[in-house]
Amino acid sequence: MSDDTLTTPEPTPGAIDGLDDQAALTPGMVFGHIYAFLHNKVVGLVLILAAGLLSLFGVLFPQMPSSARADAESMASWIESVRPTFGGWTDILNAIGFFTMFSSIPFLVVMALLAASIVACTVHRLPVLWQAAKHPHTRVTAAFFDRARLRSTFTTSASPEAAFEILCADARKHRMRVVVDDRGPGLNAYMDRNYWAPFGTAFAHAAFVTIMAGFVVSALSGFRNEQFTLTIGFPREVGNGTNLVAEATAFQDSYYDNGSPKDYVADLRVSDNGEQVAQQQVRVNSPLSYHGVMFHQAYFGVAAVMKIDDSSGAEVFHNGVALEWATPDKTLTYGRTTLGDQTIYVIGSASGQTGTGIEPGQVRVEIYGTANNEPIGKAVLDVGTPTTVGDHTFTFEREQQFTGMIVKKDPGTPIVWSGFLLLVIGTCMTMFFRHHRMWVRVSGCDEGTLVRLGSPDRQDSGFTRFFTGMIMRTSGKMAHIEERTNNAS
Amino acid sequence: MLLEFSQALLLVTTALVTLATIAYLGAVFAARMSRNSVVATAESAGTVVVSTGVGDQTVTVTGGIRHTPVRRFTITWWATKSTQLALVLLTVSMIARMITTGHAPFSNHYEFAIAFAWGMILAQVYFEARYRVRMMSIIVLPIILAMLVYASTLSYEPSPLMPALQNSPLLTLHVITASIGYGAAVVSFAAAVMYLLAPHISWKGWPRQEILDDLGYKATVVTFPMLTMMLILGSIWGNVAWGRYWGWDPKETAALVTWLIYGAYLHARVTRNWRGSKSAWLLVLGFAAVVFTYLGNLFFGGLHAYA
Repeated sequence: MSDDTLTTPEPTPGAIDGLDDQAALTPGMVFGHIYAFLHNKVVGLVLILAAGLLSLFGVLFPQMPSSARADAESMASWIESVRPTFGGWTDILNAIGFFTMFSSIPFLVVMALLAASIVACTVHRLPVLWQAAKHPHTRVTAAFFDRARLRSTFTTSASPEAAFEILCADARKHRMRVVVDDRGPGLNAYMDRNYWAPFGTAFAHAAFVTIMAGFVVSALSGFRNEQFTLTIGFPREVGNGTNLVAEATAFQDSYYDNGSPKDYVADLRVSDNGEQVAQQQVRVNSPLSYHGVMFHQAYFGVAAVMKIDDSSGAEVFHNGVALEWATPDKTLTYGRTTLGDQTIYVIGSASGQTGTGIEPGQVRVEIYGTANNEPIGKAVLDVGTPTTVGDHTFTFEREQQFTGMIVKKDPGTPIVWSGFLLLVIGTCMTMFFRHHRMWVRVSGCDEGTLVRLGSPDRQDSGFTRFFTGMIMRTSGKMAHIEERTNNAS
Repeated sequence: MLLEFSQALLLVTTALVTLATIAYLGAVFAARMSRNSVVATAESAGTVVVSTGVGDQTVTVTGGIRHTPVRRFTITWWATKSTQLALVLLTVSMIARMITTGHAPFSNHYEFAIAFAWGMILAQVYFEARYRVRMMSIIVLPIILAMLVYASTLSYEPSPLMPALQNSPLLTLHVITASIGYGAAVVSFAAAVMYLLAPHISWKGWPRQEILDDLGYKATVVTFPMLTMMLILGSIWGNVAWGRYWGWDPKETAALVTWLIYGAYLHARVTRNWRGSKSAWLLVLGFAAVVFTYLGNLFFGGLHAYA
């Protein structure tokens, strides 16, 4: 912040009021303050911790499932289900967004600020990194060699040039960059290793923003149907702007001895504009992929194959209705389909349940209009027996297995993968290749040659070990020269 | 038969870790009582004298490190060997279990408890050999022991793999990165606790704060990339199995929180004012998040309810 914004100017003599001499607040200054706020490391740290804290709340508090968010009624029903736990706090927590944490305003604001902070931090830091990498500070004062955290000073009778060359050669041999500074006094060099490693933070920061961009793209584009049921032998349009039709031609489920599921697999065929374009056995870990549309095996169960004719005898529906939901008391299973503006519920007894009014070989149909919650017609159907309910004739043909699939197209996924790649690159660069620096000065003295090395970098046992080893190696070589010189004379 | 063999090896491992824990505590107590250790520590307080290799000429390095040779058959030597043997036996135990069940031993809470303990012993052995801060064992080994004892309270009967877990490469990599990352987190936790205790301990044999700070960072250099890989692999697996790379499942969200805390720690080290005690507290918080993530599925269920 400049002094201009801090000092209050003296009023101009003769001014009508004291508002003539206000400090200027230009858009550039506003932007500058926002930018300075965002690239502040403490702000970044607080935002990271805030994101972590809100995520923790998302773990600790029950989260409203997407099915409950479909309409206001479902939402209210779900809220009532958690009211016994949270009592008077329920509405407050709901208003703050604790039950929908990961799409709540506080969470989205923190994540947006974090993304902005990361971008600002990266933009602010890149020039500094570039300067340090390409134009390092090669000159230090003599006092540096007395204060550096890691340092060594020793004398040798080897000539300054020979001692300097031994140091530089050893550094180069151990993959260090050597920048000789000719400005003196004595012979000086700056040495470093992995000078490109600090750019890893830029990769990691870019990764975070890329992943968040992927989340946004996923949320705003593509489609996802988590309840795409296919009754075996009955094709179904995928919809969502595609011309795809999917059909499960077979399904098999197997179990372990303890009754837990071992495997379930559907033989899936996909057609595009009437032509079969893909066929695969789809398991949980083996989805079918066609032009970015993925078919994932999710669940399975029993469907009721229904034939429905209108009053003129024309067939208006002939397909399976997956009995994919269960009543709260788990005694009945049911599914639904629509017929014009009517919703048809098909209800059967859950496996092993008796006394429900629906015997084996029977289903009950209930027809609802748009006006109210009372059925406009209902009947229990025997298998193979046409029964007229309202304007339609229903025939329960048979039970048939269905497979439940998740069908999705997510253009955000490749963006997230590229973000992960950047994250791995950035993390590896930053974590495994630390930037290490040292300065060397070799000069003449009364005892012969004075060698001084120093590194201000913070404690790093690996580099400390290397530094110590370098002193041992180079001082040893210099001593050998000294020994040979003595022997020769 | 192999399953019982595996279980027997686990018991031996637990006994060895118990012995090593007692040995280290005894060694620290003995060193605390000894006057010699004070002299030895003072000598290594930052300035070392290294040989040039020519005659008896030496050079002084301020801030340098010189590892003295490990003395054999001391109490800590036996403790170290016990820990190393425990690592070998636990590895064999896990392999035996893998042969029995036909899959990597990472499919239920018991197996992940063992994998977690294995990761911690691996980290203990590696960091002790690499950095020689043997004192950390008095914190790390009791935690390992607690995990092994906890595992012994769980049913060791193998549970069959449910369809979602039948992805051997991803299951193995996802869990092994978690085990190693969590294991190294215990070392950083120990270093942080010792760092925070250092000002209150007058004994000069206690490791210098500078070294503990570096050890905590070094362990996090293992933890953070491993957690990163764990999250990425989990994300890829989630996309294959359930068609989404992120589902805000309680355990994966808790793992994200853990990752964020370690990310904050690394971020904090860049900020001058957050070195030392503050960053040590972040490591303590990070380990608390690790424990919460590990045990969280017992309370929250979700896609990771099995482990």
